Formats: sequence, C-alpha cells, structure tokens
Amino acid sequence: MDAMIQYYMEETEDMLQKAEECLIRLEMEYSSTDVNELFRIAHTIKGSSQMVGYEDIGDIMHKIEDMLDGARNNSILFDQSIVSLCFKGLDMVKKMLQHKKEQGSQEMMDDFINDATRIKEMIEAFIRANKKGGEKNATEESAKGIVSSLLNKKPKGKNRFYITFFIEEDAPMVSPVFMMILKTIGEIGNLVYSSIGDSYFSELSRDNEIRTFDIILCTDIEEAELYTYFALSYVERINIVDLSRSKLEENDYCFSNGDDISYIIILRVFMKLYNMLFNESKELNISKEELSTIESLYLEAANACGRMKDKNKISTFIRDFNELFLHILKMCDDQWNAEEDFCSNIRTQMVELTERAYNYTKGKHLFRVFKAKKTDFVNRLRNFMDMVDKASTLIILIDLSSLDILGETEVKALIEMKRQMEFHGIETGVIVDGYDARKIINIFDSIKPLEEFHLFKTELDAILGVLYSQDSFHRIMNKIKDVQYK
Amino acid sequence: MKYKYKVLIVDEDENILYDIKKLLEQETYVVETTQSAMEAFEKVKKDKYHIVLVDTDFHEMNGIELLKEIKRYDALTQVIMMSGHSTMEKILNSLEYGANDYILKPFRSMDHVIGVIDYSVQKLERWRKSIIEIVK
Repeated sequence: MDAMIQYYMEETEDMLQKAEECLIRLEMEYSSTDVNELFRIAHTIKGSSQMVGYEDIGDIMHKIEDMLDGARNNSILFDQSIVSLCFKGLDMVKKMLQHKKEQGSQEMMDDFINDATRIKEMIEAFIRANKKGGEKNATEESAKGIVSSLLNKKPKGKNRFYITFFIEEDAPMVSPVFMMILKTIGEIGNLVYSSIGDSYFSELSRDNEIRTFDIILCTDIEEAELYTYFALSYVERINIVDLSRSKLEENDYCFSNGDDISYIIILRVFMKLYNMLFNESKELNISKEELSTIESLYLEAANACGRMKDKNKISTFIRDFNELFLHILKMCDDQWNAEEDFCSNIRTQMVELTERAYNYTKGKHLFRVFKAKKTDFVNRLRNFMDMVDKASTLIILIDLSSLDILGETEVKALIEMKRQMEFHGIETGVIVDGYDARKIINIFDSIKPLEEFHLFKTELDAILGVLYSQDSFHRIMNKIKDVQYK
Repeated sequence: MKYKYKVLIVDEDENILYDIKKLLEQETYVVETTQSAMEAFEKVKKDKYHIVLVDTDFHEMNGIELLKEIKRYDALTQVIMMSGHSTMEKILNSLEYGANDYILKPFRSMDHVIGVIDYSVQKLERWRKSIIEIVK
C-alpha cells in the first residue's frame, strides 16, 4: 500500500474514533466544544479523502460537515437527529474505509456507495427541513429522485410484499405522506415496483386525487412487523400481500385503522366479562346487579360493532358475537341448571372470538409483534420500540423463536424495554418455541426475581394469556378504561 | 423461600410419590408427580421443572433413558436418581449420563431426601444469582 494511503488510513481511523467519542458525549448532553470538534474532524477527513482520491468518502463527510456547520452557527437547531445522522454517516465511512483497506469487490463498494447516497439525501433533507426560513419546500425537494433511487437499488431481502396504502380522505396533502412511506421503505428494503414515479413529486399541478399507493417491496422484515413501520399519520389502512408465500387468504383483514376505538371497546367488554364469569371463582354465581352489568356491557359492545366502518366485512363476527351474548344471558338466567359443558363452551366461544378479532388486527393496531433475529437484536429492538405508538398499543409480543440463545446485552435490553413499556401501560409477552427454547426459558426463569416475563408458545397463546391473566387485566383496563365515543 | 422451585417426581410406587410430595410441599416446593416415564418426559417438554426425581426402574422406559432425554432437552434441570441398594451399578451409570445426584431406596430418612434436594437447589440458586449479577 502506498505510504500516503497508509498514513491517511491510520489518521482517519484515529479521527473517526475521536468523532465517535464526541457523539457519545453529545448524546448525553449538548456541548459546543464537541460540536466544534466534530466539525473540525469532518472537515479534515473530507479534505484528506479528496486528496488521496477517495471522493466517495469525501462527499459524505462534506455533507456531515455542512450539517455540523449549520448547528455550529445556529442556522439549524441542534437536536438528537444530528447525532444519529452523524453516527449513520460515520459508520458508513468506517465500512467504506475497511472495504478499501481490504481491497474488496467493486460490487460491494457499489452497494456502500448507494447506502452512502441515501444517507447524504437524508442529511440534505434534514438540513433543508430544519434550516430557519427554509422549511416550506423540504418535502418536495428531498423527494426528487427518491423513487428511482429506491427502484435502482439491487433487490435485497428474503421477503417480497405487494403493499397498497390507503390514504385518509381528510388528509390535507398526500405527497408528504407518500414521501414518508418512501423514506421508511429506504430504511427497511427497496422497491421493485412503485405506482408513482419521481415526476409525481416535481409536477407543479400534481394530482392530489390519488389516494392509494401501490408498491412491491423487498425486505427482510416480516409481514407482522411491517404494520408498525408504516403506522404513519393519514394512512388509513394498509393491505399487504405476501408475494413470497402468497398467503392471500390470511390477508383478509376486517378491522381497519378507524375501527380502533370500537375494537378497544369490544375487547374491554370481553376482558371484563371473562374476569367476571371465569376468573374469580370456578362457580357460577351471578347476582342481579351483575346481570344488569352484563346487559349494559352487551349494549356497549353492540354499539361499538354498529359503529364499525365496514359492517359487511365483519358481519359474521357480529353475528357470532350476538350469539355468544345470548348464550351468556341464558347461562346467567338459568345458572342453577347450567351444565358444566355449557359454561366451558361459552368460555371457548369467547376465546375463539378474541382469537378471530386478533387475527383481524394482527400486528396492525393494538398488538405489535417483534420478530427477533440472530443478528443486530438490540438495535432492531430499540428501533422497534421507538416506532411503536405508545398511546394506542396494548400488548407487545416479542417473538424469540428463531434464536438459540440470549446474550447478556440482549437480556438487559429486554428488561429495559419491558420496564419502559410498562411505564406506558403496555404489556409484554414473549414467545419461545422449539427444542432450543429450553435454554432461553432457563434464562428467563433465572431472572424471575429481577423481572418476570410471561412466556408463551404461540402468538395466540400469548395474546389470550396476557388479555385474560389477572395481573395484566388491571393494567390493560387502566389503559383503556376511558376510551369512549365522544 | 421466596423463589418457588418446581419439582417433578417420577416413580411407579404410589406411596413414594405421596410421601415425597407431602414432604416437599411443606417446604414450599411446587410438586407434580407421575407414575409413567413417558408422561414425565411429555411434562418436561411442556413445562419448566427445576428438579426431577427419577426412579431407575420402569417397565415402559428405562430410568436412564428418561434421564438422557431430560438432559438432552434441558441440560439445566437437576435430575436426581432414586434406586435400590441392589442396583448400585445403575446409579453409577446414571451419574455418567449426567444425573446430578442420587438417593438410595429405601430412604435412610426423609431428612436425607430433603438434604439431597436442598443441595441441588443451592446449586441452582448459585447459578441464578450469578446470572442476575451479570444482567444487573
């Protein structure tokens, strides 16, 4: 290796290390010294990279330098997004540097350059959006070329989904919503097809009548998780068709986003009833007051069903739901003669209806699913937690089935996450299954005195287990007790 | 004892099951019993047991076979073998296959049984504490 390049490599690695230290401090608290130091490092790396002919590294450092310059002279407001963009950018530079050092393949380098371009675009968009006086055209400008850049990326990821986004009727502007969707796509995979092109964003008289957006997405993310990624404002609902496995029938969703409140009310009624009828004592002993409570619960739930947007789609659900209540009332009326079979039948029916309702809403609204993978567990979990809508989510399911073991950092992250979620009134259920599950169960078992996790074998078990368990009952109820129609 | 340990006792002799269960329940263990080795293995697959007491002789499945299956499924489960004096060889064999301890039958005293189980609990307890220490 050329002596100059060698010197450059060593110097740059040193500076990147220092930059990271600055960023870690900045993550904790703002200091102008650290911002200045970062700026100086970015400036130096930019210059030296250009000098040795590494334009690609020089370019991305240039963008970081611009952003830091803005933060330094107060033309953009300093916030944590700057820190995270810097982390992203420096991480990319590190990868590129390492690749150059090892003289890796051009193909891989092209991938890195593509990723670096995405980061540069994000920084540009950030600068434009946050520059004082320059907010207005942010979305339009940064949208330029985003569709083609996503389409031109080499398809990666084992899953392929056809996704249709339905935008709410009362969304004031559609293009920013599409833009947000495209940005999210950039973070999790790439496009194979898009029903709108780049021209959509640049045309002055754009067609604001478009209310749906179709894409084919290539990604490693699982279907159940995608709903969390695309839980954006003004997106009314999302239809996902799994092209890799053509699981069409499973996508037959029924509850849409707008039905959230109705669904919470039905759920609340179910939980109260279950608690009243089955949890407290095995013997059925319904007093007159309780009977009238049951009747008013029924009315509440029936009203909620009546307010669902698309009643045709959930007509069978409503029918079975009515039938269940008739049975319950009959059972209460006739409680002294009620046979054991009849009671357990009602219990089964309730569980079944909850299951069905869960399948309609799976991963979409109230229940969020995180599927752990062997690599990058902690970061993925943190990103997921950041994205989850804390206000509307009731239960988070962490699926660990594809792991063989949990490490120290993973366990710590899980405990931290569980406590954080409990603070927001969100219950956590853990799914572990398979032969290797024992090792994971042993770990959870031994940390019980520190933090107790509820473990289940399947998603459904977990949902039912959490919904109908005594200790979760009060916490979930507390969270949803005030939900009602205004 | 703040932390509840779950114990499974597997023996064809109903009296033994009854005696040990009663004894352990007084010590606040959570106890389950079965007379069938097959059923025991199914239980182990379904639920977490910290300690399993296994008789070395069964009609349907050799006690050592059961020990091997349990250990293969959950290496951390403390398996304690129970055997009569005449089959000392079996005890030695089972220790080779990973049994954690053994109790000879007929029992010397119930205190002895408790002592052996408590010793396993101490082992688990140490393991648990060190994990918590790491995670903290």
